[in-house]
Amino acid sequence: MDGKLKQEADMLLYLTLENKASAAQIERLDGLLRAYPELVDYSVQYTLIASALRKSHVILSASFEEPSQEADEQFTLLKVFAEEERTAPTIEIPCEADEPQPTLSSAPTANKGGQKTALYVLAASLAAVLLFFASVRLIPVREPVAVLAEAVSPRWHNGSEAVAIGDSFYNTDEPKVLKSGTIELEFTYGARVVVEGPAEFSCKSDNMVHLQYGRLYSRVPQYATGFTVNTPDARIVDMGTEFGVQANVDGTVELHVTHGRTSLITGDQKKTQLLEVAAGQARQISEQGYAIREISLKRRSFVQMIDTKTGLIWKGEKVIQLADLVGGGNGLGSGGFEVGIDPGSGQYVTLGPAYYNDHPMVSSAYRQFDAHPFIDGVFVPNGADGPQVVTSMGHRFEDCPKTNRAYFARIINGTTQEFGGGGPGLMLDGMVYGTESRPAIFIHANQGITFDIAAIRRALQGTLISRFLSVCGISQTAASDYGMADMYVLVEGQVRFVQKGIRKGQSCDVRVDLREEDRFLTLVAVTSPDKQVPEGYNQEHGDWCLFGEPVLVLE
Amino acid sequence: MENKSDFVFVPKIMDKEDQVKSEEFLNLLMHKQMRIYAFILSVIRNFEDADDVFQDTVNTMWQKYPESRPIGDFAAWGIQVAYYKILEYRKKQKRNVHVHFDSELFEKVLTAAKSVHLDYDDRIDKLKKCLKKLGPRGRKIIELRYYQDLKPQQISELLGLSVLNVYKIMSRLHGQLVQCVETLQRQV
Repeated sequence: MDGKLKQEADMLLYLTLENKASAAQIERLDGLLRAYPELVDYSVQYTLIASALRKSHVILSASFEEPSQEADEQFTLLKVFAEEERTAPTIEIPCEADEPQPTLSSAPTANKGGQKTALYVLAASLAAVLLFFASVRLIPVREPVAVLAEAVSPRWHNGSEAVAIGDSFYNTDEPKVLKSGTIELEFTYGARVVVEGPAEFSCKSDNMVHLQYGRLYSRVPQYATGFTVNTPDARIVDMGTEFGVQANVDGTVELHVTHGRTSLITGDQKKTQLLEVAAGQARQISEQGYAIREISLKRRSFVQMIDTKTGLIWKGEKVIQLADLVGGGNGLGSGGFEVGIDPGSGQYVTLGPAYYNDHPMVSSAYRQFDAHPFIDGVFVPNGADGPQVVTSMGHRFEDCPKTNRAYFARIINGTTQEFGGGGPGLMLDGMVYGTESRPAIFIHANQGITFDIAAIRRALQGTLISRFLSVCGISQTAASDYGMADMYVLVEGQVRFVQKGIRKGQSCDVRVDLREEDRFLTLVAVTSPDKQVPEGYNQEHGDWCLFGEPVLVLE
Repeated sequence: MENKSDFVFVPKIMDKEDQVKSEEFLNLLMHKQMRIYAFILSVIRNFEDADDVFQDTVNTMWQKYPESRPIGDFAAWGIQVAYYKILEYRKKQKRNVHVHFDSELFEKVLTAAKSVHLDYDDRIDKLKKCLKKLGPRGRKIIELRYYQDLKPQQISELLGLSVLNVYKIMSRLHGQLVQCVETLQRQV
């Protein structure tokens, strides 16, 4: 069989399969079958393949391995097919219609009613129930299709049915009911889905989830394009994107697309509506899928990522607040106000009167901090005995100034207390810092803290952290005018920002661009070596340093 | 939107013997249904009508099963039942002369279908291998059509292609799979 003949036969056979071949095309096919006996075998093999694809689990079994290698090839169909269209022979295709052409389908259509009646009769036995499904849909083979990748405070409907990280979800499982908490599923084909409780869902395949009710957010890599979320009244097919779906118990569904585009399919087999919903758009579906209306996008409404280890629940915020980390939080506002770390002991503390007149003097040893996964350690800087160690990996701050090894008030997430005499809280450029709306790390000289930004990156599943932004200075509320400090930002011990000789009320903007390989970000406040104080005052007196709104910017 | 039936079933309480028969029948059908369906499709040639004939076939098989037991070759029996259902279908379709072939061609196709189905299981194993050999684009579009159960029209809208292109792609993919399976069959 030559190539042209095969190409024509392929097309005629496929059109026939889909009931879209015209009378002339069927006659042509039969003519070919008579003229080329080898085509008869070929046509039987062709339909055998089609039957297996349509009704068996052969596609699932094929398991579509190693998708990552193919990412760049996904859905670049247009160029290829444009070329095919140019070179292929002209073939008439009847218009696609919801109902098959009358001439081709009159008998089967007439049959439908009888078919239903027959099925109702058949339904009178348990076997018939199973039969119906056996005959209409494939009988699925039990396969693991997703795993529980992350979980934060999950409570399942059946408490005894504990689902642990790494446990598999199977395509044949009963629907799962997550009463509360948040989980993240990783589908075998690559999509990651965060489900917020309360929700009922089932993982139908390695690229499909059914959401009966609840909220989920899907992140679908390019190679897993086609990931599908089914709800009772709508189907959302991903086209390489991120989107949130909220399915309510009353049947209404909301689709919010944050990146890429999706196809929203509603209606039933007789009348299907297909609508593209692209990034920045949202739709509400109601009335069993027949009413679709535009709604405003809720960009920060869905939990997009979670981290079991840190309890991180990320809703698409663009920054990680370092002050919140200092307060024991996850960087998104869960930290304790006026909570911080004592660089002398390496312990959490809560700021209070006990610290008002406390000026400890300790060694400059680097103290690893194990109580928070994003904070590597703390120290009291002093370059008198050589370079200061500033990370758990031994990175050194070569030009660390000599200090008196004394510090005040610890490293604290904000404050509104008045314990210096210069006014309540912290202030720079006339703006109050250290509050919920304008967080700050209060880091009086001489103290240093190192953040593990690689750990943050990991928790955010590789999200790019592009830079550190802040404003730094000595608070206008400092106890006296004697303050004079140097403030540093280090990365792997290397100075990336320094402002020396800062005095009370002075401030400057900090921007440190970060590379993908950067791991440790260190903030340091030390008394300026040139500082003079009257006799009887501590050398660090008045060095009320702060980093205002210190954030890591996420891309 | 799940692929759910809108039928409401009310299971009858069966006695134990009936239950055993039902389970036995179901078990056999589960393992052999694909062969029966493949046979039907190879003769009927379009999914829609093949589904109906298959449904009729299963219905009759279920009704005849108690009196036909024990059945040595369930698939062969099913294909035999299907054969009569196909004949019934052909009678109903008489007026649409263009939708099915004449008797001579019909016999040829029947013979070929029976022959190909002798090594059905082997061919399905090969098909799994061949699916893995398809490029990602091909596998994706196959998945959309058969696994996600989208119609060509929907796929065309989803991918921004013309419907014509979807048909072309699908026809070629089926052809590639046939060739691949044949090649592997010959290597055995």
